[in-house]
Amino acid sequence: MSIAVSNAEENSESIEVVIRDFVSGESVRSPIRASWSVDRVRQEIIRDIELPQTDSENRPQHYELFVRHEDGGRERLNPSSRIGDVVRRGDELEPMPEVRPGRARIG
Amino acid sequence: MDPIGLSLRDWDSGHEVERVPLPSHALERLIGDTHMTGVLEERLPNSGQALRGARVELHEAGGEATLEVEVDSGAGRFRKRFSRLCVSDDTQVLLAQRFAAEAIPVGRYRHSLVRWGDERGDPLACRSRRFARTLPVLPPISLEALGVNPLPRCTHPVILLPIGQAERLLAHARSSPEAEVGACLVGAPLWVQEAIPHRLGILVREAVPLRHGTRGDRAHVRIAPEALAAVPLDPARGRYRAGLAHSHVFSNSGVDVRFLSPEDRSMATAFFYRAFQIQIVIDPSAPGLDEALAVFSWVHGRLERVCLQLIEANPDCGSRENPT
Repeated sequence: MSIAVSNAEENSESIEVVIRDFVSGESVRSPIRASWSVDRVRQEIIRDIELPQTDSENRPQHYELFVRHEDGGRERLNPSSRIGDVVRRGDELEPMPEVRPGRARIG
Repeated sequence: MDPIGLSLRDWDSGHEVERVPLPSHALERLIGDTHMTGVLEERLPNSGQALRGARVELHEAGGEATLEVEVDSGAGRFRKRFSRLCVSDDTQVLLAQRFAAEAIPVGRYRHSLVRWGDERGDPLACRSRRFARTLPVLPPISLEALGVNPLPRCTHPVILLPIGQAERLLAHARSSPEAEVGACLVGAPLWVQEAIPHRLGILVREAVPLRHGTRGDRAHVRIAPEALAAVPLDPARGRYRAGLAHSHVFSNSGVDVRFLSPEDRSMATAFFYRAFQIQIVIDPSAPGLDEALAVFSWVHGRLERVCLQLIEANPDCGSRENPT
């Protein structure tokens, strides 16, 4: 798996990370561009692994990107951060969804 | 692109109003269901190894179109046929989305499976996937040893919920009678040793109340990503994400509120579609456990309300370190 980049970006620095799937728990290795923002990486991952992009009310499905470092530390990534500043080689990235059950209606 | 879609037809006139593609997670759900069925029927190995491949084919010969799913474990292949009902929940979600977008009038619609995209394309949809398709190894479990008597004769998975965890769920819901709350279910799939109609057991080890930014009101509960991320999982010890529980709040409505709304189905079809994942809806106003909890599990690709086995103990099984 590799997240598509433009030709102009091919020569920029990349970091190999592990992308984990929320549903299955399985993972794949993938390079990501160090210069990208967390938000861009999040969007690329969501698109690449075909996660739902809208909820039942046709609103954008919200995800947040979490990183687990090789030393076991885990944190939620700030969408505006530069990936190269907050992620290291071998780290695990996992997009986590916001879910909104409920809205029970009578009848 | 998968060549599988849904045709939406007006209930009364039968006129087709729209065709939409079936989301990829719906096909993955059916692939996972087929894999699980193959393992339980001892046609595929219970090894935890990833599938080598999967194929979804639309059959349109006479009458309703059906889906045939074939999975290849490397040590064997297994096929399963699904009717259009297997995508009923996905259809409800898609309809809700179309209504919200005002793309079609609100109303009643029938759905059927159709070919989607290039009509000249290969009808066999070989599903490539980024992630490995695996099932947990199913450790054996004896229902009799757990005190389940009589043995269930239902054709759906056996849902095992320790009474302590059930009481914890109800207490969590009752602590917030005016706003919905949620809990993540942590558990494991098991192989029932007794010869009953459905031999998949689903053990809920723990119901973890969701906090960390989770907020509820009378209509819904917003479960923050941080809350889900905070739930401790440990697949090596049989602690998988086994589903969600949430309350429905309708004071003195006289209506059974233990059903799945379109939002509930949207969340379940998108993120909790593995064969061993369930949904629990809680009525905090109910007097006891039997009346308070409703459980929904995947049966042939469709969410159905199923019965629940309350057990005294929380068995130490479902762990690769402690196989029974």
